[in-house]
Formats: sequence, structure tokens, C-alpha cells
Amino acid sequence: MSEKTTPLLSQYFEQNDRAVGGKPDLSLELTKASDKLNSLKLDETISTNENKSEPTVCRLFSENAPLPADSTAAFFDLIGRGTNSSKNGLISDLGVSTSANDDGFSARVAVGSEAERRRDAWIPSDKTRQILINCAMSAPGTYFPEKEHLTTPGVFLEEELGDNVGEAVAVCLGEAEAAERRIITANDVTQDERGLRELVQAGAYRAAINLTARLLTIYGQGKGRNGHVSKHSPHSLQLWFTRIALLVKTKAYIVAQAESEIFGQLDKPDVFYQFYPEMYGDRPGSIASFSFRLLLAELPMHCGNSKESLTKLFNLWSTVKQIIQNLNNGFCEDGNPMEISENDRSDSFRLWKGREARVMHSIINCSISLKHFELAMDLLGQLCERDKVHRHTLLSALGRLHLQVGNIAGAESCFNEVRVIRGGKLDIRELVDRGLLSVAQSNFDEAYSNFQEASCLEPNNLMILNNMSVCLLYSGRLKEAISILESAISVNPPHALHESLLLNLCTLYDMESSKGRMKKFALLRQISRYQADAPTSILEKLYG
Amino acid sequence: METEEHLLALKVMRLTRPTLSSPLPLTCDSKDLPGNLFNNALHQDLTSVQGSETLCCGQFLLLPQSPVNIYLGETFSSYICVFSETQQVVKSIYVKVDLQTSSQKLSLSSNPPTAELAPDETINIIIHHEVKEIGTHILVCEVSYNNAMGIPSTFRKFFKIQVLKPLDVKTKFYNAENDDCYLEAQVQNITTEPICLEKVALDASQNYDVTSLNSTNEGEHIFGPTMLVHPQSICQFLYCLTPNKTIKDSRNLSGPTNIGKLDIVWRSNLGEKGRLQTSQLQRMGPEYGDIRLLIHELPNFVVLEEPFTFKCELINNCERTVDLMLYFENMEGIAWCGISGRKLDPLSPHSVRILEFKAVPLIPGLNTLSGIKLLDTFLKRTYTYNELGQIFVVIDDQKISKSP
Repeated sequence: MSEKTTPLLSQYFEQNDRAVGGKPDLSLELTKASDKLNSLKLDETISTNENKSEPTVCRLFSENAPLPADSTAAFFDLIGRGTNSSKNGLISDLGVSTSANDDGFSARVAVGSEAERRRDAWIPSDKTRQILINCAMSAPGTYFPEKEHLTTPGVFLEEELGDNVGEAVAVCLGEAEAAERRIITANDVTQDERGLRELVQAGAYRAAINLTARLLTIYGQGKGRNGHVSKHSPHSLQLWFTRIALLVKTKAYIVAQAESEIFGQLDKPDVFYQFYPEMYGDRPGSIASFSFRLLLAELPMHCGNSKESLTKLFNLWSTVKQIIQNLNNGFCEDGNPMEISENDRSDSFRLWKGREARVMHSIINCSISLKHFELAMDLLGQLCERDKVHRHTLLSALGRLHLQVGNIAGAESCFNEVRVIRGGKLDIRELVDRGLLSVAQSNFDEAYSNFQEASCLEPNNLMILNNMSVCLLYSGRLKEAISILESAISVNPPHALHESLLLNLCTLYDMESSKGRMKKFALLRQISRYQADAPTSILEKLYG
Repeated sequence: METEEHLLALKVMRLTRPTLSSPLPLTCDSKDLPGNLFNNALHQDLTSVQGSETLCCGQFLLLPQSPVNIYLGETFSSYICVFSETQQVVKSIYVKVDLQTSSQKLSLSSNPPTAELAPDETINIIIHHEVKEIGTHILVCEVSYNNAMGIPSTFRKFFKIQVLKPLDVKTKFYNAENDDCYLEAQVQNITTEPICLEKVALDASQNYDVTSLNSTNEGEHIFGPTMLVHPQSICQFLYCLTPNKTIKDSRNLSGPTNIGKLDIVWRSNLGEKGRLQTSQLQRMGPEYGDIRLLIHELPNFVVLEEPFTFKCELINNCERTVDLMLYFENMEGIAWCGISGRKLDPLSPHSVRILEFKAVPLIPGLNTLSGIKLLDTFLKRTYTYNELGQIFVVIDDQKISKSP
């Protein structure tokens, strides 16, 4: 983590400290926290790991997936930004990397409060706004709204999540092998958000979920606290965001849904700063981050209720549109007629346009899951129009959407338009799109040569190797299909041991012989060696 | 089935289209607790596409993971893999693949025998078959081989496939005032997934010329560029069929006539193609006698109480010259302007004559032209023509100039 984020986050902690009334060690830990500390920690893990012959997850991750130089570059920002993304290796390279700025917008040092206002701005519902006004009008500490207006979350999971890979190894390969597995757990890191990030970076999502439960206990929002009144702070809500996000990432959708239900659409007054005038003065805005709002709106979709998500996402979109309109009309984001400088206004405008695009992406994904392809195509078309810089990327996605529904002519015309915009030589994405077009036309030989051409440009691209393997199967070359995937895994195991690639390989193993089971066990051994976590679905596939 | 142990085994996988896999787009702001870790993980995911990581339109091909229905008109494709279960060399392997439908047995593969199969080798066969029957199909795979001692052995495996009906096509005919006929075809998607209609065309029989009425004046399809049909949804197409000029005797068009076939091509998931042709569509043409009277020219709008003219085609379909008397009968809202009981000039065989009529509209609104009576003086047969056509009677003549 870069220096830039630390002050802000530690600031959260100081505030929390007051809110919770204790735990000085935590804030101490964080105020001291710096890059140096973090790298020291990682170094320690490396050295302990190196003493053992077996590579462990943590070490591998720190080697193979180094943090980008500038981790402050905001992902949200880049969607709305005019940087050309196709050439860059990492998302974070895309953001402006000037270390002086706060939000990655311009080389100007943004005033802290300015950036905060912009980032946290939100328009609550009228009912909530009324309560917040009452709150501000009454003497500090004298206004107590009904409990139904409060957010009272608590951890639902009764027990800490275990190591599901280890359990699978014990069942399939024996206790001895399982005992050799070494992974990072919630006990191996500092009991704070730095430790949490370390777990997330190592891919130890289940351990990270366990750590969030422990940290939430500090706020009185731990196990069994659901329904009990507690105070919220930026940090506590960030912990909840991280926890719910990780539950989604590990596909524990039912738990995610149960634990997040209490948050509703994050419209209760106690998730706004104005609710705590004694702590935040007249600071406006939402304590819950925008990412959290988006996550909660998307959640029903993961649980198979995409229609509900669609409604929530459109609600989100309408608020974002209102914010953009307020900015256009010369007001603050939330409609407050406060003066803001032109530079700040345009930065804010860009931030919210970027967020709008991100919400639109989610709506597109949601309508795809509902098979409302017209809506998805319509929105994608709108994005193509407004984002000229990324037009070719979006058009290529639109082309693939056409392919998905079987509209070959439509797909071809999108890909041809991309060709006109890009000019020059075909790049990897275009070659792959062309390959997919051939797949749709049942021309697997031609598809293979398209993918092969792309593979020459980027020999280690696992997606391309996978697609070549699929084409080989459809051409009756099962053994070759298998060997491509096997060699891809042997070259880059941590990266290649991916759910979709493994599903493909397992399908091929099932076809090849009756020895598929042994080969799947070998894959499990690889996962155990390189991955801290694996989706349950793929583990079940490997047992089978 | 057989419990006997065999040296070889066989596996079959239906080759439906792969799907495009995408990551779960989980992102956050750089100021959120996870910093850029979620974004980086998303970016490094093999299934994400650079530049559109947060869109679920990936490039990663995922093999079919769950069984998919097969529909009439689609191509049934399967991968058949024969592999060895032994360390011995197996000889003279012959794999025969047949498809048993309710009515026939089709041979799908007749590969030459494989001389030898080493323990690690496989025999790979891909079969394609366009399904042309609804109902249960059974894929029969028979493997015969000789073991190391040269003793022949055979085993069979059966796979059941249920072929479903993909589309429901309903047709309706409308006979126009002239000899044209309109065909309305409703195509309903009765599969469980959205489909994309790639082609819907009417291949007319030789008696008719067909005009498709499914495009706008700009040449765009009325359903837009993507003819996407959701499950249970219906698309309606309209065609105009004009009798071929080569048909001299229009009596050939009366009664049941073949007008042609609808040819439909659709695609679904990642280009999975299906094609159906309806059986010959039959139209019940109106009964055409020896004499026919058809509207030739008729104004759409006429002005109240102002005389108007219209033209009719009088056709003699028979082999003799016909002498006719023309009578007018009273009709509601329109008064005839002309002589009733007039003798017409003799009409020679297979000839056409244009008759002009004059009338005065008396009631505004939509009026039907009826009441023309022809008497064949030789056969003493009367032909009455009611509902020949319709006119719209307006009051203000300025409205006429405005209307097309």
C-alpha cells in the first residue's frame, strides 16, 4: 500500500477509536503503519517460507502478483477517463500516477475535505433527509430516532470458515498431504486492516472473512449482534463492505445476503455523517462508500434474483444522474448551493461520470443475466456513443454480446467498426474476437488459426491457450486439447489454476479415459500448493 | 446392460456450443479498505477482457457444463472417444455409430477399422447430424475389437436424446379484392432460450410471385437489426402473393392451391444454428366461375353527393363467347348513375374487358360497393357481385386534396 492511503485510513481509525472508546493498540499500530512496515511483514513471511522446501501461497503471491507501483490509482476513475487502456498491462497503470493528487485526477493537490466531499456525496431519501435535519437541529446527543431507522448489523456466520482446499486434500489425498499444506490464516497477520489486506492479496479470502468478523466484534457488530444498536464509522462500514465483497467473491451468497439485508439500500440516517454532528461537525455525505452501495445493489443478482438487482441498480443510477445534474446546475453534488471551484467541479463531474459508467456496466451485466439482451445492447450502445476513447473496447464487447445471442451479422459489423477505428495491425483482442466469430460459424479450424496468431503475439496468454484447446476438442483432437491446458498450468500455476480453466480441463479429463479421477487429484494437489482458497464448485468437480 | 469386462471403454460428449465465461466484476475505489486489491484481482483474472473488465462479455471459451436441449432443425454433434482400459494392445477396432429415430435407423459414422490401439491412445470420432424428426432418438455406439489373443468382442452403448419442437408457425390467408393474396405468418419461439431469427423467407410456388412486406421504406427490417425473439414471443411476418402472369385461367387458383413454403433459419447461443422449412402452405382460393368481375380502379376517398367513377375488370374464363346483361340493384348509401338492364357487347373466350361505373355517394363514412348483377343470357345464370370494394365518403373536398 502506498503512503498516500495511509493517512486517510488512519484518520478513520482515530475517529473510530473515539466511537468505540478503547483499543489504543489498534490506532497505535495504524498511525505507525507505513509501507516499510508492510514490506517488512511480507519479508518475514518470505524468509520463514523459504526455510521450508514447499512453496506456500503467501510467498508465491508476493512474487507473482506484486502490487503495482501506484496503488492509489482509482479504478472507478479510469473508466470515465480518457486514457487508452489497451496497451497498459495493469489497471492501476491507467490512472494518473502523479503522487501529489488525492483522487488521481489532476496534478493539483486537492484539499482533503474537497476530495472527501466529492467522494462521499450522496442524496438520501426525503424521509432520511428529514431525520438528518432533525438531528442537526437538536442539541448534540439529545436526538434519538426510532430503532427502525437504525442500521443494526451483525455477523451471522457462527464459526470461522475453515480451509476448504485442505479439507478436500485430506479426503482425496490423505491427512499426510493435508498436513503439508501451509497457508496464511487470520492468525498469521496483524489483527487490523493491514493484516486484512495482506490476506486479500494472498487470495486467502476465507481467512480474510474470518478476520473481518473479529474486527467487527470490536465495533459491537460481531457474531450474534444483529439487531443490536451500534454506531457506524467509515472504518466499520469499510469492514462490512470488505466482508460482504469477500463473501460474494467466495460465492457464499446466502451468507452475504443474510448479513447485508439489514443495510437495506444504505439509506438509513445512521450511515450519513450528519447523523453524528458531535463527531463530524457539519461534514455532509455518506459514511458508506459508493462501492458498498453498488455491491449491495448487485447482490440479489448473485442470489438468482436479478430483477431485484435491476430495480436497485436503476435507483442507484438515478441518484448518480441527479448528482451529475446538480453539478451541471452549479450546485454541490447533493444539491447544496455551496460554492465550489471550477476545477473541483470538473473533477467531481469526471468522478461521477465514471461512477455512472460503472453503474451502467452493472446494469448491462444484470440484464445479460436476465437475458434482456436488448437492454444490454442498448446501454452498451449508449456507452459507445459517450466514451469515444474506449469506443473500440466497448464495441468489441457489444460484438461479443451479439455473438452470444447468435446474431452473427451484428457481431461482424461491430468487429468491422472496431477495425476501422483501430486501424493498423490486428491486436490480440481483435484476433480473439475474430476467432470467436469463426467459432459461432462452426469453423473451428479457422478459429484455431486466429487464436494461434494471437498467441504468437502473447505466448503466455492463458485465455488464448484455453480457446485453442477448446477448438482442438471440437476438431477431434482431445489429447492435444488436454496437453495445451496442462502445459499452461505447469508454466504459470498460480494464475492458471482458475475456476473456468479447471472446469474445461476436468471436462476433457472426463472424456479421455477412466483415469480422469487421478488426474483431477493431481490438479487438487496443485491447487493445494498454490492457492489459499478455491471455489467450492471446482473442488466438488475435482472430488468427482 | 452388459456386465462383461471389456478392454476398451467409450465416452460420449455432446458438442453443444461453448459459452463465454466472465469474471465476477467486483471493484472498489482506491480509497476503500481493500485499496486496489479487488481491481487488480479482477484485472488479472484470465476471463476478464482488458479495458472492459467490468462487463460480462468475456472472450474465454467455456466448454458446455450442463445439458442443453436439442431442437428439430438443429445439428446434433457429439464427440465419441474410445480408449483402452488395459495395458495390452487391442487390435482391429471398429466403431459404428447409428442414430435410431422413431421411423428409421441412420448410420452416422463408418470409420475404417483401427488396426491397433496402444494403452494410451484413443480413437476420436465426431459426428454431426441435422435432426429432422421430433421425439426420442437413440444414439447407438458399437465397438468391436480383437483382444491380444485375437478373440473378437463387441459392446454397445446407448444414449437417449429427446428432440423438441423449436418453433410454432401459424399462418392465415387474406384474399384481396384483386387476385392478390396476403399471407400472415406468426413465428413463435417455443424453446427456453432467446433465439435470433437469421432468415424468414417465403419460397413461393410457381403459381405466385411473392413480395415480402417486412421492411420499412428505408429497407430496414421492421423488427430492427436484431431479430431477437424471447421464449414464447411471437414475430409476425406479412407476404403478398400475386398470381403469376403466366396463369391464363384464374380458375386454376380456385380451391386448394399450394402457395409455397416458409424457410426459417435461426441461431441461439454462440451461433448454434437451426433451420426449418414448413410443409407446403395451402390456400383455399375463392370459387371462380365462368365469369369474374374484379375491381380495377377505385378511389379511396370520394366526396359526398358528387358522382365518382370506378373501373372493373370483366373476365371470361370459359371457352365460349358470353353474352351478358348488366343490372344494378339498390345499395345502401350509394345511388347508381347509369342504365340498369343494359346488354353488354359479346365477350370472347378468355378475354378481359374494362367496365366503367358511375355512382353518387349519399352517406358519409365507409361504404361498400355492391349490387352489380350480370345475367348470362345463354345459360340463364345470374352472377351477383356484393362487397366488391369499399370507399370512404368525406364531406369536405379540401380533405381529399390533403389525403394521398
